[in-house]
Amino acid sequence: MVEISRRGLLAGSAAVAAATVVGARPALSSDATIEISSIWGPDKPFQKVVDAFNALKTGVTVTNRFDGDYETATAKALAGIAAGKPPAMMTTGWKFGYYARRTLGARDLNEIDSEKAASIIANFVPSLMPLVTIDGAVIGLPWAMSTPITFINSALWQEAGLDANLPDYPDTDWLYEAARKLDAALKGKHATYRSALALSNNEWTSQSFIQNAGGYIIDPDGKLALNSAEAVRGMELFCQPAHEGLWTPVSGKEQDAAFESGALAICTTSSTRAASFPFGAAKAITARFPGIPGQARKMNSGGNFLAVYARNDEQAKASLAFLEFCASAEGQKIWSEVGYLNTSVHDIPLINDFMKPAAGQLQDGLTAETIWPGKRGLEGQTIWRKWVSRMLMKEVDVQAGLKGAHDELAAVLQDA
Amino acid sequence: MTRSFVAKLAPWLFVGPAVLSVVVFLYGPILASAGLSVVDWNLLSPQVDFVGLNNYRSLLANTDFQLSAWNTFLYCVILVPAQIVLPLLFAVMIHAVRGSRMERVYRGSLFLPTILAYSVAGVAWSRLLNPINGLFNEVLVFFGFGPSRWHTDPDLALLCVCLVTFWKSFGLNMLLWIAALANVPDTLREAARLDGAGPWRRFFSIELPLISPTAFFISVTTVFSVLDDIVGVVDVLTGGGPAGRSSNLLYFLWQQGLQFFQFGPASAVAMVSIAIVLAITCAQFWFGEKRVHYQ
Amino acid sequence: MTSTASTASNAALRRGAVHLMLAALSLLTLFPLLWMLSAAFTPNELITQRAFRLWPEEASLSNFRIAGEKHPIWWWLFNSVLTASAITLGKLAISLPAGYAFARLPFRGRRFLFGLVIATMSFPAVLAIIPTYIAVVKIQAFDTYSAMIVPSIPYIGFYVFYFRQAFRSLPDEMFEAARIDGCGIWKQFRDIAVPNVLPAIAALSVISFMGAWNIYLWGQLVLEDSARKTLTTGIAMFADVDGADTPWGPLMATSLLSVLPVLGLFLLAQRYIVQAFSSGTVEK
Repeated sequence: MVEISRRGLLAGSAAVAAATVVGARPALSSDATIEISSIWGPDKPFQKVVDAFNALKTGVTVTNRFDGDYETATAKALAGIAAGKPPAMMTTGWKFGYYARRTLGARDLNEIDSEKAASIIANFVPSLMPLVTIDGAVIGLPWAMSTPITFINSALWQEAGLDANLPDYPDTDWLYEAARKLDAALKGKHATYRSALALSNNEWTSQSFIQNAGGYIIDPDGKLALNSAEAVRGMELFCQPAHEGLWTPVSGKEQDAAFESGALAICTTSSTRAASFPFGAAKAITARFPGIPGQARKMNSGGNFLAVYARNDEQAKASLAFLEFCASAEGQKIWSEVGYLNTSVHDIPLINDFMKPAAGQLQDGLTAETIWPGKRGLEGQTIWRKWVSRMLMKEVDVQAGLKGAHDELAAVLQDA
Repeated sequence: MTRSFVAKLAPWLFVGPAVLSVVVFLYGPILASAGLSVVDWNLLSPQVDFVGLNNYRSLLANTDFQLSAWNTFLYCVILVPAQIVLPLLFAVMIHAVRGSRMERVYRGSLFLPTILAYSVAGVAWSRLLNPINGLFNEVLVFFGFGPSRWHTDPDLALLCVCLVTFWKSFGLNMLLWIAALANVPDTLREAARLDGAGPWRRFFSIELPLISPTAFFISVTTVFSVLDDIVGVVDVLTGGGPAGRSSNLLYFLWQQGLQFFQFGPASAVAMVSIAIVLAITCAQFWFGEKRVHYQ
Repeated sequence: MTSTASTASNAALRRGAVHLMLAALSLLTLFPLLWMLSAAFTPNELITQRAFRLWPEEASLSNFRIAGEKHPIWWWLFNSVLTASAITLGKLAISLPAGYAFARLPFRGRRFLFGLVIATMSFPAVLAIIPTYIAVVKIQAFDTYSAMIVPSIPYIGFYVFYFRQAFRSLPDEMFEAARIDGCGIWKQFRDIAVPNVLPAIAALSVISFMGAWNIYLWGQLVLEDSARKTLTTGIAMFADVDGADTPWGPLMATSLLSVLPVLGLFLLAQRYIVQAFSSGTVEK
């Protein structure tokens, strides 16, 4: 009960605020209902954004449909589009930008209503627009941005006698040394401690390592660049703790569960965990993602946008009306509770101090996550993840693994 | 006149819906797969491109396909005997305590996983198998062994999937065995006992021959239900990983076809799988027919 | 000690040993679910704090309420009941008459058609999934109850097979009297045959219901709207939340909700199932 009323209160106050900012708009000529396929259930802040918007009674009513993770939602959208029932909008991972545009036919916001699009886009930091511009079309707004950072279980850290003052810019030497010390001090001796480190076995953190080493997965010219010495160095450092036994690569869910129950001391993962990690059994402290000694850092970011898939004009226009609200200061404020970075021009406070390293990384400058090109982009991520796994479990050495990934990706991504 | 006409027509009316539905929904899709396997098309591509046998050719060269084909073989070799023999063993034990109040409890408990949803099973098992602090590892460590990586270990992943698949689906075969054993007349057992046959002899010379039709039935259906059941377990437990080590042909098909929407290659996988299914079925009938004792 | 006494005590000993083994097996089998049971009643905040606990610390029903606030779980329950019942009815409606005809009505091509139908027992369902999916999308049936129900019905090989056995085991005399009274084929089927195979019908209904209740991959594919999902597919979505805050407690409460109806049904019907399977002994 408490929760419901709290949610209602928040939605209500946000709505009032939004009404003053956006101004009372005349209702559209005909009332429209749009459906958004999202990766957030009804208990997530996104629902509050939707509720706040609906409370404005602009004539547009939005319903939020939770469709699971990016991959599942994307697959569902394909079926919906083929069946002639596309969702008006869908949360689309940046990494699937090409797929969204070229295969699913995400719409160019400028083509729907260029004037309105321009006023919405003006809410965001201009330097981020390339992230959501695919083939010259603006298919979303660069707003739900996160970046991987380092979470540390402070209790375990202290028990191992490590310094609670974390460096501003940690590197792998420092991090791996700490992991070894943790293992030496706590393994087999502590009730909940089981493992020192987890870097997240996915396409994202491996990209961070390659970039921090000065390489690329896909270079700025759109070419696969895995066969570089820098990529090899990055992946060697990425795999090192796994090969050394400091890191047991598991799924994201298993990793999260282990960290939350105090079994895992260090975990590098999405900054969005700042909304939940530090408050469970594991009291967390956070730091920037580890850089590579002697190299300039070049961290990547990830995120999603709401792309418009509605084919008819009324639905598309209604979608813009919702985007306009989301982009406003009030919309962004509610939105930030997910644990996303503020990419808008509005002044929005951090949800908590655990987000500081992430905000720091944003200030340092962030690149996009790998946007897999070609209409088979969905497969690109799976292939890269597979090869990362192979390198982690020493099925191939790093050099051969990168070559294997390069060749297989090249075959899939060529027909763009 | 009309009566005899109706009588002639009646059997067709009786079997019509069944025959039609399997033809339309099961044989039809298989024919359609054959067609899809020679084209390049997804739901959204504007035209259907005929590519001949290209899908098959690239499939045979695809190492993920080879790995999942090999895994399919391993799964069959491990799981099919397990799914036949162990449920029989359980059934024999339950049969031995028939009439006792606990019989229903045992039967119910052992059958319970069979009625669970895959999604539920996946959630329950991932807590047990978590390589960092799952309960299995806690137990291993407690007894002084090192922790295992379970389903994330390339060499164990397939076995973990076997374990969960077995757990999830041995119940139906067990019930079939229990029913078959209940059908063996007690007089025969008694006669053999009076002749001085011990429990093992009695089992092998009286019961086993009499339940051989069930054995045949189970062995035919198990191969395929095993293939199918694995897909659900893989989907919730490993996603085919690590690096394809726990995938099988049908999961590969599922991924290619319904995650990546590569209908052509996925349908080629379907055709290859159908060929294998047919070959196994024929072999089973060829071997089985001669050895089954019908009452 | 006489030899009979020692045989008897031997037998008792053996029985005891079997009981012990079965009890151990049952516990092992149930073990993975014990945590689910405990977590379903443990307040969510407490679950993540310990890796494992088999007894809820502060038992509470709050997880069911929270689950209901997060997702339309009561709709899921309704949808599961609806689709599983419809699939079961559909299977019975087409496999009962077919089983009867294959058992008792002579007609040309009977052997061939019977073979055609029961050969589908060995069809892994995944094989037919892509064309069926395309068809469902193309006829705009995507995300409807029918898309879930209709393509799930034709997996009837097992059912036709068992009903045929059941009908065949009925004595001829039963039908003779009716024939003399001038009962038509339909009446013989409806009034004599069907009422006499009720245990088989009960058994297969339960088996079908349990199977349909747990349809996973197909449901994942064609059910989209959250309010149209079944428990099985809803739980998959529930467990799929991105991020660290997997709501274990509410998730397990929903899982429990998905298990209880089928478990109850099985416990009620298990005797019939065994009976039906043994009376319809597999023969040629």
